[in-house]
Amino acid sequence: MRFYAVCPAGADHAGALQVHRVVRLANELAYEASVVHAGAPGRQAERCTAAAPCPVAPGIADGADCVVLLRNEDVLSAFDVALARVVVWWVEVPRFLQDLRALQQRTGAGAELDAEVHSRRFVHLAGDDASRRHLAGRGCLSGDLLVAAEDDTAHRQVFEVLAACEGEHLRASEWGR
Amino acid sequence: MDGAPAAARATISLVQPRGYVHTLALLDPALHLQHELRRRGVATRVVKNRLTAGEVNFVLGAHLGFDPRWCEEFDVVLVNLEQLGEGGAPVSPHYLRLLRENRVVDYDPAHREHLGPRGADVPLLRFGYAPHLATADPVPLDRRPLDLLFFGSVGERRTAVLERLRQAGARITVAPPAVYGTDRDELVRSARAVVNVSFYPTARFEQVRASVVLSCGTPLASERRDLRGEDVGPYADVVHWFDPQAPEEFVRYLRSAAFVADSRRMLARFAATPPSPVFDVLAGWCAPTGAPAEEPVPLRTAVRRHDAGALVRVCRQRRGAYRPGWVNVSPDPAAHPDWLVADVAPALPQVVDTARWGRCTVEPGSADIVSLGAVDPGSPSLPRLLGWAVDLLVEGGVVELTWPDAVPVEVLDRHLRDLWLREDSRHLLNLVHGAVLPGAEQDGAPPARLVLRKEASSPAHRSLGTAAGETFGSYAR
Repeated sequence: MRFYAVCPAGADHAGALQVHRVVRLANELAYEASVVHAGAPGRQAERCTAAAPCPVAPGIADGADCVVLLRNEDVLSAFDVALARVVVWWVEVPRFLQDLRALQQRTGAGAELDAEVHSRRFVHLAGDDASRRHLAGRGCLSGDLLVAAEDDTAHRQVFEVLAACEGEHLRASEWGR
Repeated sequence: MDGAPAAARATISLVQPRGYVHTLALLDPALHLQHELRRRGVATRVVKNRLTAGEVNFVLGAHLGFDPRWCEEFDVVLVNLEQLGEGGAPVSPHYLRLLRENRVVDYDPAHREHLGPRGADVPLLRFGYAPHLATADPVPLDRRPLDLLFFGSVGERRTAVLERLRQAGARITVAPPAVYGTDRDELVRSARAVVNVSFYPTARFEQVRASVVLSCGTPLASERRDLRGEDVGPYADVVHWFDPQAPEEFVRYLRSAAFVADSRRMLARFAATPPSPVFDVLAGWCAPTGAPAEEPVPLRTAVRRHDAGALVRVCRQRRGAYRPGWVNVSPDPAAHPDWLVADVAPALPQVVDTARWGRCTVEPGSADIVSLGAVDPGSPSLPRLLGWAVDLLVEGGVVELTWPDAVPVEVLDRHLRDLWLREDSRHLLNLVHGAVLPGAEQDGAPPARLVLRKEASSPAHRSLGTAAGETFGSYAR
């Protein structure tokens, strides 16, 4: 599976570091993982140079054998993807619903956005306790990807989500493995 | 150089995600394009998931996942066969951006508005008679075992029209899903006619399907519809058009001798249709492009100079399973690997042959990730293979392998210990992760995917290891 993680770049330095770390962890598991910068191609690439060097892709090669991870702040990027499996990483979302409404107003996205991001089209990972409570309360918690986890734990969590996506892709394909 | 002009060459590349059988549907337009280019003197081959430097690459199926970086590294022409716009295929914004930013061939003039400023100049494909599908001795139409054949995915709209045909008395055979290639062609040649119904209500005429069916020597019956100015070219008078709301008259005609006589005339007329001049334009694009694009040799030092975050991923290439984005290594020239090696696990440094960069010397530490794929624990070459991976990796790099079921991982551990003692005691391969191979959970005792990291060993670690071993390793050799 090819793995892309959407990086919020300079607008959110801590977020950029988190995303780069996940890509590093995935590459350490021998996955084909790259950062993709949210927004216009190439424009934000210069703004997250503080993050560890990572393979950077200019765009998502959207395909059924591909996984896209994005933080809940960048959830609108999910609508750029038609075939890939989308993993939403919920990080620090005590005010998520308010933030979502603000996002809808700012971007003109419809009221269906909230329902859509909680639908089965997405895999939902909690990044902290508040996110876990929020997702569990809505019945859409798929797993954890803890921001503060040690590398060993985070390796396992990254592997679990990618292996689950890969398994699902292969089962859905015509000839399996 | 002898001064003779280099031959025109082209690659036709089909994008096939792992396990996605429907990419085979793209073989029809790909083989048609190959045929037309070859008859214009262009040496052409059809490949899967790979591109060739120094020549034009016609890419079909880019909507299934195509890395935009490849458009910078290679001379790429995207062949769009997806219906764009409202009511069309659900393609992603990434794909539409690819189409806007790169050289494109399309099939529908209505798509030009989606193709950016260069859309007006985009050549339009027209698939006509494909002689490579014709057979010397076709079964006569009136002796074919199947009445009406349908092939393709069956949606709500298609089901409704097929049902009306059945109610009118037609005997319809629906081909099994996901059957392509020779088996599909044989089915087509055994039918009195193939029926065409659009998947989308707004679909353009399915000229690839029509080309295949008629070229196989089988009449095509297609629903009549409002073409809204669509130019169906040579198909206007070689297809049996029927009313999908009231097909009774057509079904009676299908059974008649007149249908057979008319169909023979239509098939002969179709076979005499000259090929579209668009293929002359495409053949003109296949002139040699000279030196390949300036891309670094895929060795870690060179790649890092170009891009500090880039990783070099190397894999053993299984026959027929080229991995795009990876450096594929094989001793088999027929596999067209990126690194053609004399040995599966050569000692480093090693000179490898590459089609793109000529001969290169691969030094130790040239890769970040090495994928060995499935390994055989009983093979005498396994220790050498592991040694090659350790040598090839940079410190901190990882090797991935698939370990078979029913063989204890301790066997691998013993190989690794021997390797450490005898070959390179300064580095260890430590297990980072091991788990059941994704997708294999239901297979009883499934194989495991193991990931090992190359790490430096300490002096104390080396002494302990030497003491624990059966020999004193290379120190007392």
